[in-house]
Amino acid sequence: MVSTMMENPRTAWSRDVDLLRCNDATEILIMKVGDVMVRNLARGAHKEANKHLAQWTVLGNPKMIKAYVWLQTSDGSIQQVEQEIAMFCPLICHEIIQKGMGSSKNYAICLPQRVSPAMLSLILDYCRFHQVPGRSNKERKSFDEKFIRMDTKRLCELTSAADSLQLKPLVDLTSRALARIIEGKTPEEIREIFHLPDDLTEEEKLEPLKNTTDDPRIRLLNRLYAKKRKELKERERLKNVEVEEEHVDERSVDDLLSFINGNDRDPKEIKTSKNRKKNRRKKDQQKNSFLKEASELDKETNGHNIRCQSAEADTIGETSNIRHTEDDTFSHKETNGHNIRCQSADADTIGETSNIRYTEDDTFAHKVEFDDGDMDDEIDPALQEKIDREVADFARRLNSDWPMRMKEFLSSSGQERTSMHFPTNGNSFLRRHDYPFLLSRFLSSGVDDISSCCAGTGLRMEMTPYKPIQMT
Amino acid sequence: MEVLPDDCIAHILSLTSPQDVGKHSVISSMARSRANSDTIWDKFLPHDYQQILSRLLIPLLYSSKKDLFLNLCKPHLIDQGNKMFSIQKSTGKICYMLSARELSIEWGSSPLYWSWKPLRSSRFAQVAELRTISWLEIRGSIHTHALSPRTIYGAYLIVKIADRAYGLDSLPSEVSVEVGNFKSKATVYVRSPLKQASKGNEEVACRNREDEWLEIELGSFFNEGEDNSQVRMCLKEVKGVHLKAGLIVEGIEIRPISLDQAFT
Repeated sequence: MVSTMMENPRTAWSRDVDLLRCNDATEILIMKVGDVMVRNLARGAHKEANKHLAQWTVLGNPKMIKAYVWLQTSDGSIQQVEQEIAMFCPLICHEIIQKGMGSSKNYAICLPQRVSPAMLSLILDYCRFHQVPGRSNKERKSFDEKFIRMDTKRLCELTSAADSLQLKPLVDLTSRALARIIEGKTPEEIREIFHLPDDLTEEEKLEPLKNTTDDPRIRLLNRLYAKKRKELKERERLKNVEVEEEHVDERSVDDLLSFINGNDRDPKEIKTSKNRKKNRRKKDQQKNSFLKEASELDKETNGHNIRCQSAEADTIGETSNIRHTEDDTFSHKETNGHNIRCQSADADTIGETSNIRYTEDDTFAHKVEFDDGDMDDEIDPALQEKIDREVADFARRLNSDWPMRMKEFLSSSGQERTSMHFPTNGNSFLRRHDYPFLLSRFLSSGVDDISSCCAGTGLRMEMTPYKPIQMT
Repeated sequence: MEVLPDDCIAHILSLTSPQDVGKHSVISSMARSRANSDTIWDKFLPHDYQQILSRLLIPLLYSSKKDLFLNLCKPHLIDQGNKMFSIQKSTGKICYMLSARELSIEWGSSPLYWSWKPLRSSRFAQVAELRTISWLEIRGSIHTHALSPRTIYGAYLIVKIADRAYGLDSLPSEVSVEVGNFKSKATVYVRSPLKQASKGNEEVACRNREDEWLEIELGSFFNEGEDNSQVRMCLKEVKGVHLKAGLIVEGIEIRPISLDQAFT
């Protein structure tokens, strides 16, 4: 304390010093400098005393020389912050300079709602360190690394607060830290860490496209997805899932059987030349395009080149393949098979497992063989009998095996392929992703198209020359 | 996570990888709408993608940036079908495959030595098959600005060895990659990996790819991306005067490789 005052001009000094005192920190400073000053005064060394006073002024009474700004945080509390440090934040800077706020308690700068007092103190710590110009890059880096060591929740809040104050360096720092946390984690882990709800249904995880370009293909695909969704809901409603699926199966099998058995139509009917030509053209298209792209294992080109019967189905093929690839890599494994199924309306009803692909291989590997060149030939009676026998045999097999097999597949939905014991013809070199196309076409358009679709993919099926049957 | 504004989250996601963003889209409905935003996927696309799209042989339709990104992950013919362009799905980095026509093959234009024909298993219009020659030299080049910056790339010669091949592996061939001041050299035996395995414990330079082709590693280089220089890749066997035949060349592939791949 400046107690050793002397009643002479020197006392004026100490009184001045007294007046200048504001608070504790300053007091200590004054005490230190003041003592020296007083000592010098006592010794009569005015110059020395002056020097000390000057020094003290330059060093700064932190509160007097340095300005303070008043900040109000989200909870309403107001605090004083050194102006130098607060100005590091562009938002505060803007408020002070442009609006002149923050100079007193009444005119405190209202910080954005996202800045809580805890966050503010963190941000100010950051600013306090970095606004000092004399620090090396290494120092700054090590400070940063230590600084962001906090739990994820606080990191998120800090990012949010820093973003609202437009403090870009801190936003970058925290964003990178969060990105490092997110990288390489599975969706479940991320849900856990960030407490996100798992509110996507199974079908939503199939990611229907947002129809931003009004592309008819995408619209169609979405329609099919909607249909699939409806169907899934139906299935969930019914308690006995298997029964439901069986109904579905039977319907399609019925179609098949009726077709094969010649309900209302003559299976031996010869195709009109017009249809023949159409099929041949389609076949050739498929063959050529398939050959061109045969080496391309890319699923996209497969979808592009296999021409389905209708334009609709065609476009489904393309887009669904795109989707398939996407989901294949990015989403759950379960969704793998889902998109391929949406080839046609009928295919939709068949089932949802990726096992369908393998069924198809086996189904077609039965005694069904097409000879491309014989499309235009007439069938002689002897051959016709043979064909009838084959067809009946095929129908029998299908009839007996199909519902059972379908049940097996669908009850094990979501699993990987089950081992099927169909006899396989070693000749088939049909590729995995061709199966759904074939299956859908087979079921939707009937056996008459087997030749065209199989020919296009190069599958040789064992069957004696078989006249395609016209579906009216 | 909900405290963060959307643009903040978009910024954070763009600092991860395309794979992570894809995974993000199955977390929750809100997460999905965020993960599909165009701003994120725009950052993953190559910066000059508009120009690349204009050079494609078959124009590409896309509905969103994410859609475009996924489309570009499949190889597309570009530059009148002389090259193939694709991007790596996990990182978004650019890959190129130069067709045989883009390469400079010594004596390639002479039908006595090389024959050009379309091949079923190649997407390019023509591949080159070596009839017989004693001077085997295949060179290719590409500009570094066409590739992704700050990436390690590997160059591979895509070939097949026909049944009637002979003389290819009597002497080792020299492979080299040159970029600016950097040059890497190595020697490889051009032979099928099966034969290689039986011959002993040499380095397997000819590897099988997922399609039916073999790839011969020509070398690897680091692409700064700063200045525009030419990458020169070469395979040659000119020291031996014996005849070689039966090499079918599809092209040279330049793709990003990982650090450990670069040093094996």
